[in-house]
Amino acid sequence: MLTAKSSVLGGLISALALAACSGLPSLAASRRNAGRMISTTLLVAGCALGITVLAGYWLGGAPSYIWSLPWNSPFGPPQIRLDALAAFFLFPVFLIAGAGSIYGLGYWAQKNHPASGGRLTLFWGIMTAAMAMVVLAGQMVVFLSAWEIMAMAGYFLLVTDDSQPNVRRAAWIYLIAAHLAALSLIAMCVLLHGMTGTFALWPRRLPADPGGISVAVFLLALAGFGAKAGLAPMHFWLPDAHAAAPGHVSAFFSGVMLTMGVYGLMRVAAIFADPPLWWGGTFLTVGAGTALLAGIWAIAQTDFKRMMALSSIENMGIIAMALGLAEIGISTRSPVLAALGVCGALLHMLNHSLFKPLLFLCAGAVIHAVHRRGVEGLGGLARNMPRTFTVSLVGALAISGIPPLNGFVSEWIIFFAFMVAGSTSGPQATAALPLAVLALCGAATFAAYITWISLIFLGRSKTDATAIAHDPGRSMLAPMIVLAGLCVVLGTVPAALAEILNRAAGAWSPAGPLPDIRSIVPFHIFTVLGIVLLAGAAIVGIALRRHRSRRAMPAAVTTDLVPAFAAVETWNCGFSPRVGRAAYTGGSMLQMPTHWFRSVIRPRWLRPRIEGIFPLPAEACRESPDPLLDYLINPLAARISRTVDRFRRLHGGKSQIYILYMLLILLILTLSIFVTA
Amino acid sequence: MFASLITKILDVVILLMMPPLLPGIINRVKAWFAGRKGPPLLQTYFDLRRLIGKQSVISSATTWVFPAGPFIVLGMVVTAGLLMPLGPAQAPIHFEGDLILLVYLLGAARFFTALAAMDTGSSFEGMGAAREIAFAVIAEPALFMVLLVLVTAGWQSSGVSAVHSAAGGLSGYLSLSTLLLPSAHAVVSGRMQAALILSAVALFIILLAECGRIPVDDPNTHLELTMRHEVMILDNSGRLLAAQTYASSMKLLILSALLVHLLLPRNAGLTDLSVGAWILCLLGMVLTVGIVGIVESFMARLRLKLIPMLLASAFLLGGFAFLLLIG
Repeated sequence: MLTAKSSVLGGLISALALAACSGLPSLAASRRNAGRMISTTLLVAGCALGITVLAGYWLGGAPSYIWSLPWNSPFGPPQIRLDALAAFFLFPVFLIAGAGSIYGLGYWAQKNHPASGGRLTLFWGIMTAAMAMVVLAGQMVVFLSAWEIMAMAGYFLLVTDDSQPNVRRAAWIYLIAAHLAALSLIAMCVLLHGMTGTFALWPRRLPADPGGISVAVFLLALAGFGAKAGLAPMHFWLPDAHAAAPGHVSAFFSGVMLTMGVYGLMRVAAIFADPPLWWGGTFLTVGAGTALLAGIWAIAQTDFKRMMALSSIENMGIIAMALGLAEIGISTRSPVLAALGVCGALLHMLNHSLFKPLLFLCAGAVIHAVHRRGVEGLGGLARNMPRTFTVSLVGALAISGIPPLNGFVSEWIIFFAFMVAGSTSGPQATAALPLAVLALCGAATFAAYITWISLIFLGRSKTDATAIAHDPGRSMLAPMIVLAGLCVVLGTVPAALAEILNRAAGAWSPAGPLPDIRSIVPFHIFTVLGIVLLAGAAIVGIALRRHRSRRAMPAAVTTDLVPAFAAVETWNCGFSPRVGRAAYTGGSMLQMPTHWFRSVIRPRWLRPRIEGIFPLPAEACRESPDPLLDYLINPLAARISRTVDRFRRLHGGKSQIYILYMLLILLILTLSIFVTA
Repeated sequence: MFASLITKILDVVILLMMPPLLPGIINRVKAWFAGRKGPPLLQTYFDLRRLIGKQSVISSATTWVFPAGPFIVLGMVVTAGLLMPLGPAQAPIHFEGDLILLVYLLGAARFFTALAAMDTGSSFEGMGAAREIAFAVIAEPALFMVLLVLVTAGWQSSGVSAVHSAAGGLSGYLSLSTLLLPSAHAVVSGRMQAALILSAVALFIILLAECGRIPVDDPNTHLELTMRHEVMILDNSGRLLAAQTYASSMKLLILSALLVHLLLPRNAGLTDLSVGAWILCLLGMVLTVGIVGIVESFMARLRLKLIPMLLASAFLLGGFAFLLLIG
């Protein structure tokens, strides 16, 4: 007779094992498609099993489970721990891993990439299992091992296309950042052990602040988890890595891997039952700074995968802001603020791991179709790729927070939390001021995604590159449609998640139960609004479709709403209409805000000199690299490596010498014990 | 119950019938200052009737976004209008946090206007859309700042001890219909009045920008260097143009109603059904657009590079007002 606990454990372990081993057939038969198909089937089966187990777990009331492996390691028995918060973060891992691997069948087809396809599949499965393990880990060694495996698997996924020098460079930077993060987390775990005396994760509701150690734990966690989530200034690895990886890997990274950082931050935020006020303030400030910078940088990008990566950073900043509000709510004993903040953070995390992978998959489909990355020279693809256009539009609307899509609900909750924070007396009312940052980010996201959609899909094509483009095959389209559908469903029926949010928030809360989110957020109004707006859109759509079936001219559009029509060229004030090259480009569309914020963006203009009577053809372009990388991280790294260079002569290169060093250090430590005693 | 039904019906009637009057008022004011006779007050109504019966010309470069856009915009703006109390009574739809939805609906309208403009593939429309979405980057934070001031002031003047009780209930001071109701404010301090006046000035600047009026945009032309709204709808004709025109005049109504409600005398015995209060609100809106007309008569458009400064000053005014309140 299986108990609920052991069946959940068995299910999850089998799901993880299926995922982790799924790449082997593909590796064994790298020249054939069959191996890849078996691998993908195994992975999808594992993910489906995982999601089923999670569904059962939620229906069973989401109790808190701890399993210890009876194994006498020096660090205590390895533990796995599942509670409502962990289950909340597990869902996107399984969903995006499954959807992305199906997409990868078409995007990174085995017959086109026989060498890298098998490797990609292998590490995809390992990455999935490792991320699930990061969330499930209940003990420091398990956690740190899973974290490191995740980081390394991520590296190998990132260098899939290792013939490109920019890919290798991005992967190198990623590796550095991943190790910096891991180092901070090892130090954090050591300090946590010093504070609590156990190796178990995650301590919760510790009574009082024992002093300086907690400050160090907080800052190390912020650095380590912040680097993974992409909080500034530790985000420097992120834009290049997302731009360099294949489309579905970018989707996996930004949809799921970044949320591992958020997960860690949430766990650390819940250590103390009465956290100091500056913790929340720091989350809020770092989040606001990240969101502001990334939101502004995003509008200056002309490589749309880079733009989307920056918008991921911006969303992580927004989540950190919401978490900050929750933490302030706990510190100031305002359960409403805490509930709004944590539910806003969780829901926005979930929404982001639906619409951002969707957008990356759409971007991948466009790259797949036209074989180029920038928005320049594209246009008019809505005609060649109508399905991709529709799902891309859903993604863009969702991330811009247009009702009734899912991004709106979580942004509404976070705005609402800010307004509640503003209606408290005392200095904590200033916590409401980052509201302006959130508004600016919203408008900047708008601007970036309108530009993306319209320059790729609307208007007329500027070059021939789009002529042969067509919708991708079924294996690529299906995951996109599923994610787009989830965006619509969660936006229209957010109440379906209310109970899950309540339990996850309760599992997070370091200070007793939080109020029911349904008593604060009018989910039913969003449902009514969603139904009304969708019905309106359907009416407009049906009217458009009816006239399309009886259109008179091939390219013309008529509608029932527009009774009589005449199809002509776009009015161009008397000039020749066929000047696609004169249309707006990625560079010109957002030139104005780029210019306003030039001190933050620091764009670089590459203008060739035009000389002589018969000048050669020349091209001018604008680049917007990461200013923090150029002006802060790189000089700092150079300085550190200069300093460290002085110790290089201590490196003999022979292991005996290093063992001698260890012996000496141990000797000194032993002596120091005698001296102090 | 009966009274609230009457006020709601009145609200919807005003929302649907009054918008085209406002551009007419602005034009009459401008004509009066220029010494001209000017178009009839009801000219926009005539225009709309004429446009609905007209043939539409649709560019062959467009997809379904272009013909669908104006109707989606109209739907979003009408929904937003239903959240805004136009008179001294509650709006037809109201709930905690409806003010955030209002801003998002207006944003959605902007999204689809810009998208439909880009669908034509013209560089003129591209220019208008580029400017529209760029200005929003500064105008949106300013608008949210004004709303934050409104929320904080509303809560402070309510006399309620906290917006949220420890048990989790909210006291209603996060809804436009409560915040703007003149009868719902018990304590009004001078500091609060000052903050509200500051944010009203900020809101007036935002109104000029959002509705495409001088000095931010010139509604009379699309062939000028500061063109924005008019150029985005350059390719619209017939019913599409009618939907866009009607929606943009309704946006003017919504924002001027918000402005009027910021400045309504609080705690002065104005109730839901008092005829005087309704007339006061409507007169306020007429006066607001009248001031827009006066501004348009006496100012030229600003140079494009100065517009972000103007919008940033609106944001700063909102920020000062907030600090004044919580200080």
